[in-house]
Amino acid sequence: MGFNYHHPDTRPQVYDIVWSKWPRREDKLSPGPWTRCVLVVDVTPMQDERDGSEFFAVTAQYGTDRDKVAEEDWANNLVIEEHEFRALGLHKPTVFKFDLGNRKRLPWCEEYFLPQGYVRSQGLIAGSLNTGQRVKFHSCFNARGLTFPCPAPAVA
Amino acid sequence: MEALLQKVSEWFHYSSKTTTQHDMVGKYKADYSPLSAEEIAAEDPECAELFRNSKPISR
Repeated sequence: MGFNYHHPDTRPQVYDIVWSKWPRREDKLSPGPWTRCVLVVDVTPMQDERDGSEFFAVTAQYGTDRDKVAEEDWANNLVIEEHEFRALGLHKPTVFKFDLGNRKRLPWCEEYFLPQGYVRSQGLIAGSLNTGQRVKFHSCFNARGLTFPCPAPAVA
Repeated sequence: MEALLQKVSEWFHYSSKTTTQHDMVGKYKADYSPLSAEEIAAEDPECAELFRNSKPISR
């Protein structure tokens, strides 16, 4: 079937918050498309060796409603507070957990992401961390012993 | 007729109370619920196949 890649110029940058369609969610009582906020930690150009097509692999950490994350889990994770979330295009205080289990690598395509162009055309904000938040971002990486920039994806 | 109107009125009242309001991103509903590592790690076979056959390049 193949993927419908977004135009390369629309790719996000590290520190951006974008909207992911993965994991897919179905709710029979409330049908319609769902999306999740994710914080981009890596963007790597890739080539599909089967047909030579090029695409961007986006690695991102998932965001969760801060009120649904135990306070003891806020340490070493990026907490977007009450006074910060609107500037990032979020709807509420949000925690981006930095553990590797909360991270996913996906191709920058229609099937997995809302394109930045869609978000802009809807008058929405596709946010990017400010300087202070970026400092916290790196503190989270360091505290967890994670490498930044992220290591190049392994080739199978 | 009055009884019927009463029933319709009750149904609308019930319906409006049980309809959840969602935060929206355009036509999409924003989901902030917690995710398990298993849910995130679940593989879409087509995506896994793509990464198995792809390599990083420089631009």
